[in-house]
Amino acid sequence: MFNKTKLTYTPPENGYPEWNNNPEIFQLNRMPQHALAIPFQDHDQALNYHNEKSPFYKDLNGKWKFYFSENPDQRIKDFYQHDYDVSKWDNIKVPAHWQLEGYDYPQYVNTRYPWIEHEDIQAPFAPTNYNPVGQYVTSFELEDTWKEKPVILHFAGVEAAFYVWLNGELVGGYSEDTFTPAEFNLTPYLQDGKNKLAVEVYRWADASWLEDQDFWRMSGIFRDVYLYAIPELHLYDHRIRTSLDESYQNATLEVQAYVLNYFKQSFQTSKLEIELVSAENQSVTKQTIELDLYQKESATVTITTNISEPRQWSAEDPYLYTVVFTLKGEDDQIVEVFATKIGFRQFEMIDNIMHINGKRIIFKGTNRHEFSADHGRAVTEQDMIDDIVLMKKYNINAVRTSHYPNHPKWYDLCDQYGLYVIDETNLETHGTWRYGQQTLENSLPGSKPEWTENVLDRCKSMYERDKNHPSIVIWSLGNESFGGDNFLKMHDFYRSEDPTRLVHYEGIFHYRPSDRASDMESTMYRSPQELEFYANQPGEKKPYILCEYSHSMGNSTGNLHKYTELFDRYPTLQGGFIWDWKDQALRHHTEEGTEFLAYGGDFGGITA
Amino acid sequence: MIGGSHVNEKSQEWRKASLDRSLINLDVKDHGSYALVDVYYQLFTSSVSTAAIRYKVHASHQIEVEHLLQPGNGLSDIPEIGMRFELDQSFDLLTWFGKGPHETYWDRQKSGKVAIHEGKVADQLQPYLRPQESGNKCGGVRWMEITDKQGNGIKISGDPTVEVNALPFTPFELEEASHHYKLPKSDKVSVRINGWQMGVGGDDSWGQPTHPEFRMFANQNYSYRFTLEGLTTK
Repeated sequence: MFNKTKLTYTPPENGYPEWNNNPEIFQLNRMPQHALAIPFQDHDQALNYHNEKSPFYKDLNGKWKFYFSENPDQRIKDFYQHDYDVSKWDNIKVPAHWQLEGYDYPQYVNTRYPWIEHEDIQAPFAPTNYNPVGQYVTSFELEDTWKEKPVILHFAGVEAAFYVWLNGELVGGYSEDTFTPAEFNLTPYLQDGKNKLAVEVYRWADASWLEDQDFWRMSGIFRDVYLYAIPELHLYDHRIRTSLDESYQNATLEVQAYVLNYFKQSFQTSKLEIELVSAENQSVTKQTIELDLYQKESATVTITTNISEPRQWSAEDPYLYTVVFTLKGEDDQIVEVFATKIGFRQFEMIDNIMHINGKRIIFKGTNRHEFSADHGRAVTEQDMIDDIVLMKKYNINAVRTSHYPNHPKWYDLCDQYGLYVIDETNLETHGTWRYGQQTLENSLPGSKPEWTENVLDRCKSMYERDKNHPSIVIWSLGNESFGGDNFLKMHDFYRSEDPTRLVHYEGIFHYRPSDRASDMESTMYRSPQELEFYANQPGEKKPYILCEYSHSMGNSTGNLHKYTELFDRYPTLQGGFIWDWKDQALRHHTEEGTEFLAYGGDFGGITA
Repeated sequence: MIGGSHVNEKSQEWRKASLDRSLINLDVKDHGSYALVDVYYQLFTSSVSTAAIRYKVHASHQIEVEHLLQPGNGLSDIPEIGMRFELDQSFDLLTWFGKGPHETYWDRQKSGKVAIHEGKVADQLQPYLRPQESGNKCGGVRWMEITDKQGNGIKISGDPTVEVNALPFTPFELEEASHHYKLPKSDKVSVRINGWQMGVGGDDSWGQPTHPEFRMFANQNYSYRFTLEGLTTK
């Protein structure tokens, strides 16, 4: 599972690099996806949740060296070499979009592919004439306490594809999917003293055909970069599920832990302690399970516990418990502690109506682009708190992460403040199809086999990262990407991995042969009359939501009450998500220095 | 508003008519304690419309206004029916009895609370990304006072109710500016006392029109009444 030796690099067989004309190649030597868990050394540290205070965590954000090229041919090919001098390079902030740091230009495009004004190409080719490359270099030294430990490098989000070298060697580091983490095992490449980390980011790759979201097109390392060290025993992955009994009173808590013994140390005894703690810091249950790690690299254990009348999580009462994992080695010595918050809630379909904790749910939702006027998608925690506090003030109870997995902190906040989340896979191919077409034609990913593994990897990356959040009730397969068998496969992935949530995809509205890809009927911008027509149709039917409605940009949002009255009148009409939460505008200045909010078209180029 | 259901194109004859009317008749009669001023305008919509306005000017400084609009045949929807005038920018304080405190429109007013609200004229312009219509007080305004800091100004009373909109810019200035910084420096208060303004719509913003019950069709006459009264601290 873990590659502990250096990568033996083999270039793609077709003579193209990984990022071009190779849709099947979306990663190289990336670590398996998992629920994030920064280890701590003791219980109190773990309960404080400040990752940066963990002795196992090292922040790599800050000023990095940066070199910008307009296309891959112009990049500096040997920049990652140990003796290549980058001291004369510019500095750039990490995380940030390079377009907001003085390079390239922010571009707003809706459905058309953003390179169309530079190059006429067909999928799966990536642009080469104008396809900026950002080369980043930083260095770090490890604390003495890390010397003997495995070290993982974590990128939380990089747009759109990138390679990683450490100390002159390709870590394997190649990854696509802008919005989910990419981790690499640095252990075989580390050296004493200064380590040189080199990252080469491509604005567009072949996978950019899957990332045609209607938003500002911006690139670079835009989320956190950090290292973490793995103790002798490490909770590499965990899965927590809750279910309520038939009377919605008592619960079952199922905790599955994947414990890593990286060096296959011969623990005679090792155990995992799992404690459930209430929000008032009272211990509810505590169980200990012996781990069988004698000469084994890993162990998966599952503990199921009955919890009597837990306080239930909902958007109205977002009550969170904490699960504390304590890994103990020889002589009961604590090796690692990790704490995570959970909620007891049951989301399910009963008689074709979606229910939360046994009651019908109505989504009074909004779509949210992760965006700030100053940082674009490199949002801060305060940006996120500002958004969610305002949402709660306006009685919004649900959010769709349109149209990609958001910053991990956003889901913590949704758990804490109480929002039902549709978590959306990073997939949009609006420029490959048109409204009204009857067959798949050249739509992506359609039923094309060369894209199947790529889109399934996007599902898996989001699912594994986000699976433990009580706020997430629905997985969405993406946005405006038409239909095809790949959507059935994505649907089946989520349903088979996760019986505790439902799957949403609006594209079936445009391509009915893929109807099975969505557990609910979902449309955009339909009139109240059309909703009522659906509700009055006889026979069994899926519940209905508007994944986008009431286009609320500028002075708008008229007759919203007509929709909400229908949601109250017809059980099958279960709410909607307004488009959208806030304007995507960038703070900018005129040549005279006047500050203004710039919108699509203000930086030139096409916008449609 | 650019785009949307293209009301700006479909109903442009009403915009034109608002800027280009012709006085047909002006009749003044003295009734002792009051005078009646009857004014007839022709509006050059594609078939001619008529606006009849009666001012009943009382010696007690009140002016009752009655406004009747007779649309011509076969005209487009009427975006707004009302009267507009400008005050000096020193009259920058609003107090109104009606829905608020935020802006309300025919089809977006459920969250407005009927109460006595206060506000500043400058704050009525909402920071929508592109400057546009904003700050309306929807039907149901019993009265509004527009005053300076000393309390001098004007009181508008609906009979029974009107819509009022007081902004630092005219609608024509707002529609010209692509960004707020491109607006001219304000030197006035633009006041609109309306019988009705069409709803804002929003099912989508690229074709769906405002729902019919929130629009004014040109197949009927429209009339509304209000009273103007001077306010002075002297």
